[in-house]
Amino acid sequence: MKKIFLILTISLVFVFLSGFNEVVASATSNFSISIVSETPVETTVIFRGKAQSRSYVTLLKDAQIVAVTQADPNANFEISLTGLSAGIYSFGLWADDTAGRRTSTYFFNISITEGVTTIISGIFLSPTIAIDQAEVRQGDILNILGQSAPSAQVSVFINSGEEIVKTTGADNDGAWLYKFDTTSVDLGDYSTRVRASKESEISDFSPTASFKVSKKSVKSKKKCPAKGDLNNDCKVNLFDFSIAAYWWKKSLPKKIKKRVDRKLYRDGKINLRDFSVMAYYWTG
Amino acid sequence: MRISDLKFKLVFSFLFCILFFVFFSGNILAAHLYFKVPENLVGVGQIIPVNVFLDTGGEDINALEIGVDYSRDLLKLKDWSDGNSVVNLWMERPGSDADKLIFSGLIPGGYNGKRGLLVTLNFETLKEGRAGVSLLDSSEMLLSDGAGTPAKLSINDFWFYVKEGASKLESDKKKDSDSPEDFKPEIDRDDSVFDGKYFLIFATQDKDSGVDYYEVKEGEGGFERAESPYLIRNQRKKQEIEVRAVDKDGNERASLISFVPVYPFWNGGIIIAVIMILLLISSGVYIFKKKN
Repeated sequence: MKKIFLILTISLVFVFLSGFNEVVASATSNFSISIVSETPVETTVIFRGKAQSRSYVTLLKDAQIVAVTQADPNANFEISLTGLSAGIYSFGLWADDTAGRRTSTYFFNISITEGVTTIISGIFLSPTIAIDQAEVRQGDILNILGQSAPSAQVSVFINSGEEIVKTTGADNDGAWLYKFDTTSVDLGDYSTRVRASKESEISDFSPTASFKVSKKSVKSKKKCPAKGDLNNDCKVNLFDFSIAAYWWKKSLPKKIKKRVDRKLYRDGKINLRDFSVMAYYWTG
Repeated sequence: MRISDLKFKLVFSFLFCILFFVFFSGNILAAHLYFKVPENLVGVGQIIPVNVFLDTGGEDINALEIGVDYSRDLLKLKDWSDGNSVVNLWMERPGSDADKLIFSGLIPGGYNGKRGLLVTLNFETLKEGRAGVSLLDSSEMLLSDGAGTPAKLSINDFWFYVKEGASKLESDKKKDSDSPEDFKPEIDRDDSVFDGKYFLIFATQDKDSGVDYYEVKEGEGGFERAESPYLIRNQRKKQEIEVRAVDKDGNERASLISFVPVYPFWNGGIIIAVIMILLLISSGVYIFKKKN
């Protein structure tokens, strides 16, 4: 009897925990959706959130740019789209700060209902990030900087095998700076990214910046997307897709092969892997 | 060891294995594609829509190449639709006359969910029997990780039944009255495409019946079916180009773009003008010298 009771108890624990898993998964979404139903209205979607002070926020709809707006001095922005059809949409948001640095792109899919206004709020775009040196002499200071929402707390993650996490604060204009002392770190390749938090909101991770700790120092150059930019315009969009689609399942001339291997997946051809890499770095 | 203890251990181990699988199955299950039909029993000579859905198994998927096989003695592919698909851009659309039904698409930013519609395949039922729709082993999906990593993909076969006299499939789908989404064509030139000539690119979606085809009209010419990227015919002529997207129910959305070709100075009329000017100057100098 005792053994049967034990079996049943353990079974119930498993069943409970498997249901709990689903609840936790849905609680980690960092925006909220509300639907305002008024009869009859034009189908509308409104996006509200935080970026950086006075940054330019770009909205993608189904992978193409449809709107750009400027955030206010408090980093708040709002974008409305009207005249949509009902259906599933893929939206993306990114921002360029006042120094021209870009956030990561925040993608999400939602289902829009005809005749209602759907409000997506609580969006918190990632901070922007830059480093002043691509290679830093061991023992020197590497400046990791960028912009976020004013007075946000910024967590800086530095990786090379093990992860170092430091925090710094953004000032009243949202500018933040962390001085990374390379005295006590090994020579080698590192990467860094940041995330902001303000009140109860947490942003996405910023793009990753890579640097090397070595015996010399080399200044950083302006960053374009690391991959996917086939036509070298510092964007990854329909132009790049069209170039890759032109060569889909065709044998590549030598000159094209070099470009494709450098900018996409290194295997000497255009196949699904190349498009997957392009889709990851998509800017619209 | 007593027999009752051994029995308890066996029962416990068996139950533990089952419950472990149930608990963790949501986390370790691969992404999988599944099919849905309005009814599992349909009559002969009917059109049955087979929806192909994606459950990403908790992963972000951003690229897919899917091959579909089906009982060709019982089913004939009449049409397909990408209306409301989570796929934003197609490298290869489903073909209705290919031996193998293959389609490849891209989802910039990735999709993570349990019920992402990819395509709807409309089959006509030809005769009675058990009709199967399955995925080819070559089907592939890639993670949105910047490295082109393949996702674990599980593939299940799917069946439905065709029987003479079965109830007629009533379609609750109303006619699509909305045009495809607004879009903006662009013109570009790249030495890797069409030998460096100007080309036109365009893409849009239709959230209901799906985009059927595109047409392009250059200047005063007529509309012609086109795909993106489209090689502009009149490479040197300044003109208005109109692109029209038409959905499966005939609704249209058109967009205009101005084409103003720009060529480097060593191309075209400017060099002729320079030569003419040089000739005039030379002639003038010669005449002047002769007079003197």
